[in-house]
Amino acid sequence: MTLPLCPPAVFICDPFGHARQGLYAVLGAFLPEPIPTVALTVLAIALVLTTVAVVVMSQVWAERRIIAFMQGRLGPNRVGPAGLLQSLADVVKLLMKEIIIPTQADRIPFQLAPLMVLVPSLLIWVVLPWGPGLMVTDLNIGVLFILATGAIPTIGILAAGWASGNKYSLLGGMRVAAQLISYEIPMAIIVLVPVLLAGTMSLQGIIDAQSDIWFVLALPVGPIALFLFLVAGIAEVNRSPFDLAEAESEIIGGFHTEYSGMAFALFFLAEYANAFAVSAIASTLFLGGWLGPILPPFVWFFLKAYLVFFVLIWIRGTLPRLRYDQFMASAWKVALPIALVTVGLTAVQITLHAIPGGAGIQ
Amino acid sequence: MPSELPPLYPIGLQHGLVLGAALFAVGMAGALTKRNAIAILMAIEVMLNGVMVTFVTFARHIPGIDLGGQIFAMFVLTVAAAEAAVGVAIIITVYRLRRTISVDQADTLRG
Amino acid sequence: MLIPEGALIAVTFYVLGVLAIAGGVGLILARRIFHSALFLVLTLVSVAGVFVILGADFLAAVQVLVYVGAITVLLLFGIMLTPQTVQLPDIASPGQAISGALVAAALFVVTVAVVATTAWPRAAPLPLADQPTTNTIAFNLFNTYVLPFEIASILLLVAMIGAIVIAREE
Repeated sequence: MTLPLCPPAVFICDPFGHARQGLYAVLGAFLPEPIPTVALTVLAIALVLTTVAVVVMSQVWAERRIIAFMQGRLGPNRVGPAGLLQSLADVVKLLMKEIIIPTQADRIPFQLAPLMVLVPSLLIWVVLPWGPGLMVTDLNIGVLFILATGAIPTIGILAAGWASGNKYSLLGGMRVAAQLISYEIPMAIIVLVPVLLAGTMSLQGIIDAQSDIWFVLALPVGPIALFLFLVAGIAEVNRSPFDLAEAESEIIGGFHTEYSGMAFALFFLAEYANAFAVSAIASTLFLGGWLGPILPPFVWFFLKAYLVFFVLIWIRGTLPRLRYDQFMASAWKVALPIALVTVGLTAVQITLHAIPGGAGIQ
Repeated sequence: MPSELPPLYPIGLQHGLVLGAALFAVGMAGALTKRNAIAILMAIEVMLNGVMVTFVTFARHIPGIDLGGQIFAMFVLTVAAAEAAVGVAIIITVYRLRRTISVDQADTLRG
Repeated sequence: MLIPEGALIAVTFYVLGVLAIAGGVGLILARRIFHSALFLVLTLVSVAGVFVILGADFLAAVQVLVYVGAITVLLLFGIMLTPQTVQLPDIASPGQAISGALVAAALFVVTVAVVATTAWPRAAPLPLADQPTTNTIAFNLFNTYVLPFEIASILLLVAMIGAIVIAREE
């Protein structure tokens, strides 16, 4: 049973590709060579940034509505139909608020910190493939690029915690740093499972390798790897139940206690952009990314990413926050050994050709 | 205009080597002048980065070694990680015993 | 081409090189140890950029992942666990500072002189296009360099155990 793919020649199946070709033809007719390429790259970046903003607003709305539904509340429902414009109203409110810099703060690091957190989380979007060939750039080290950019915000969060000159901020910052480092290791190891299965670190290559079977179905390692990836991913983006860094009932707001207005909004934006990036990466590495019948590839990409994000919301609405020592112990004593065993098992299976869809050994 | 030859690589071997030497020298100046033990560790990291730049430059420009330079840079990185871990552990222990991490005051072994 | 690609790469190299060195200088001159750490991050990221220009994309990503993501965070932990109640001027006594700077400068001059006077094997100019390096690195790492690789693994294990034993509170 194979349903037909959406043929790329049809406009609605690949609107961005068609727009790119059309624009390139128009611009190329008037301007010498480097200008059209550069202009289109700038356009692509602008499109991605706009998408991030829209996606984050939709996420915040969806999260508040869904959590409210799970808790028998209504959630935002006043601004616009079904409260859809509530996020927009919140953005306007945050934009107009004053950014207060505490007198105890170390001014320059205090102001740099939100940028050090936000910029890497936007950089990750550069390599996310929305469709065949539809990404800003297809790095051959894509997976490693994601891990590396994901490591930079740790510094920004520590800087925010330290520069605020507030002991709760400092505690929050140290908690995040410990947490991010601890969960980065199982994350980096578990990501090797799809890399081994596909035999490449390019995200596009990983999706191509899943055209027969999604890696989540590559039994038995696929489901374990996806589960572990999601756990580590939630920890990496500080979402409940692993939001010990912000834990408002324990350490006020953690590292962003002293931030207000737009500076706070940047942290907030980075957090949700990261949450969506984790969802999109999980769907790319394990759920076939943009692969899917009938519907256009970019629709599949967003559909799957939002589906994974819904699971994140669900987990947030269901599970209580972990205690700090349990949380760290689970990273080193549970997640890390499972990740190592899973990767070892994957390698053995690929060597024995005993895995469906395994293409690692050429 | 059809593309004839790929454009040539503009950075020469000497450029990379001078950058590596400069980083090494800056790091060395830091390691010799700072008193805070953690700052000295950081300066040593800068020195190691200079070494890595040198290795990678050689890997780029001297053909026939099959990226041996990059592999050695990875070994440098490994050693840097080990050094930082042990270094910070020692500094924390010294701080616990003497309430300072200034290398001038950790002089118990001075004769 | 309006701007030759080679010129862009050269300019990027110089900018990144200057940033890397500026980070190192800032590290020395910064009064607060935390600022030194942020300058160190600047140096490390710039060096990663230099690696990309030198065709070492895999190594650049590893540099960011390990240096920025792990080593710097470790150093920051060290800073936060050793709060200095009195902010000492961090530079050593003037005599030591000047002699240290002189020694470093002399080393730099000697190195540059050696680089300038050595007759390097003059290979043909390299093409700009870069090959993916990951496969080559992996293959050589597990063939030619498998012994150093194993020794590095043991070194990491020893360092890990050593760090835990030293830093542990009885």
